[in-house]
Amino acid sequence: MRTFLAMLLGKLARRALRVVRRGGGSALPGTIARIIQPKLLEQAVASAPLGLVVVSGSAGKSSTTKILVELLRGHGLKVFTNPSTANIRQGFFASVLQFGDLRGRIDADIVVFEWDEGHGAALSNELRPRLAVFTNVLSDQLDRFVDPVFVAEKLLEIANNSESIVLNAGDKNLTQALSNHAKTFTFGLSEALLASPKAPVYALNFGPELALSPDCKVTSISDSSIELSSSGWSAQFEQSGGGFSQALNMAAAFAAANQLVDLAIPKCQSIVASLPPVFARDELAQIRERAVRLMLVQNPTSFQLNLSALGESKTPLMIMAGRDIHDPSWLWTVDFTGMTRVDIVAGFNAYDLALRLKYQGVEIGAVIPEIDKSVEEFLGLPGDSPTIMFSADAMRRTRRYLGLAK
Amino acid sequence: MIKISSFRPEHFNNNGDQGNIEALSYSLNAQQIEHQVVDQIAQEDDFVLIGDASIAAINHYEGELLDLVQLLTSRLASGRATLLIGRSYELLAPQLGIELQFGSRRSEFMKVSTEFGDVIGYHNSELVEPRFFSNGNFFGTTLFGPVLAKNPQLLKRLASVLSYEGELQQWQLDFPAEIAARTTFG
Repeated sequence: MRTFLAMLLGKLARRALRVVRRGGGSALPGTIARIIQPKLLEQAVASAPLGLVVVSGSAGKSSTTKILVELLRGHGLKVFTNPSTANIRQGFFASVLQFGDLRGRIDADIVVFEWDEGHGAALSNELRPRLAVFTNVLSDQLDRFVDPVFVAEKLLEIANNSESIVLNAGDKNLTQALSNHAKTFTFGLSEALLASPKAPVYALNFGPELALSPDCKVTSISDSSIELSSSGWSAQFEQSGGGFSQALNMAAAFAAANQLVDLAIPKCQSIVASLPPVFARDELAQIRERAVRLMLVQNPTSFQLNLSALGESKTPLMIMAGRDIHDPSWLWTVDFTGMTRVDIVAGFNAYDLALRLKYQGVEIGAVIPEIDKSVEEFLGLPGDSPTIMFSADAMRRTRRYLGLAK
Repeated sequence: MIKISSFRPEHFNNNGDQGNIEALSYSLNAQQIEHQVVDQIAQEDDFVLIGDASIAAINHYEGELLDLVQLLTSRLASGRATLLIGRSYELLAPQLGIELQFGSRRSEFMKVSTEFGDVIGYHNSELVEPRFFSNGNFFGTTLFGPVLAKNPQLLKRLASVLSYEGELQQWQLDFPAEIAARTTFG
């Protein structure tokens, strides 16, 4: 009865909010449902016979989750997953409201969740994942986590509550903390790729290097393809634009999928070929009859990746730093030296971003913290390559203002 | 030539602390004041920065940091332009005779009253007092990140020690004022 009530009232609240707020996006329906039935999420996950798989870590969670979900769906499984911007407890409840029936059951064989590294630790006590995938530990969100060693501690808690784990063999923060798990599988770069200057850098760690040979290894990366090898197979996959980060996300997803289904490699090749190109999570949206490039930035690494992907000067260009950037100090670890001009700097933390840009010699057209005013000003500017680079909060508010579905 | 030095800037930049060097350097360049930025710290340097760092970096470089105690003690006594931030400050301050008081961790924006007026920044530490220490132009603080850029009165004071005689540009004053006005302090 509680479950029925939670689903009914949560769904009604969700529907009402979507009428009132174009573009949707609110934690309220999930919160209502959770208050009425705290076990709603647990019950929904339990209704999937193949259990729960989670993907956590500092970066790469969304891409890894998406690839893993596609691989599993391509092999005939019904997968329940969460939108990448809803990776904390309220987001999961909202997903159950969206996709579950009134009895709180989801029509899925398996659940694959992207898990926020902080909230996931507490959730893992309740939901006990069948498999946990760990991407990396970066020096990120220090206002929240204080230090990368505490992120590794959170991931260890998730690992300890999981039946088996898949971890990045090239990240010492993970191998030192997690490799004692009874059932560990690994992914990573070949020795040759590890020596490349393009190989990713993780949170500083002066501890010992553990010699773990990846179970799923990236052996080659080019502009148009990624080659992976695992026990019994080696194959090339069409994939453009993602470089080392995307190659590792793919290896993580394949290492996980290998534990869940019998992978048919030709099928995997067509699945990967159908994935959209990766430009650090950007997309082209039609806004008032103009094709506007939208790029999501969430931390120093993704900001830097997006700046590299931005290429030559885009006109007009707006960069938005929203409320989700709690302490904007980290903007000073991003290198903007290749940038000459930003037409509009916007979002709640617009002045912090503007200060950073000006000290790096970037010309600024206007600083407009308000979302509505900045978007209108931006859309009124001439130029054939309109581009918005925004943090998750600024993205949500901009989408809501423009009525863009997400 | 003016010499600005920073300890292991590649690792002691936890929250953009090297932005303090950029802010100083930008202001000196604007006045065409010749200067060099180096990563070897020496007694005669005109400005020394030791930024915040991860626990791993602090543990790894603890010996090198403690080797600087004598040099820093001398700079502290003479009030020479120096900035210690975050864990570096918390490690070195007791060695320099600065008494620190600790309590429970607070992670929030803070406005600290100082002889230079309010100094703003983000504090994420168990250190209670002093969150901003000064003796002449020797500063130590838990307020990490680009504290000089966000507090132009400090930037101007340090820049003036380094032969800077002009005014800061208007945006160097206006943007931090907007930031302060929009920040909710704990």
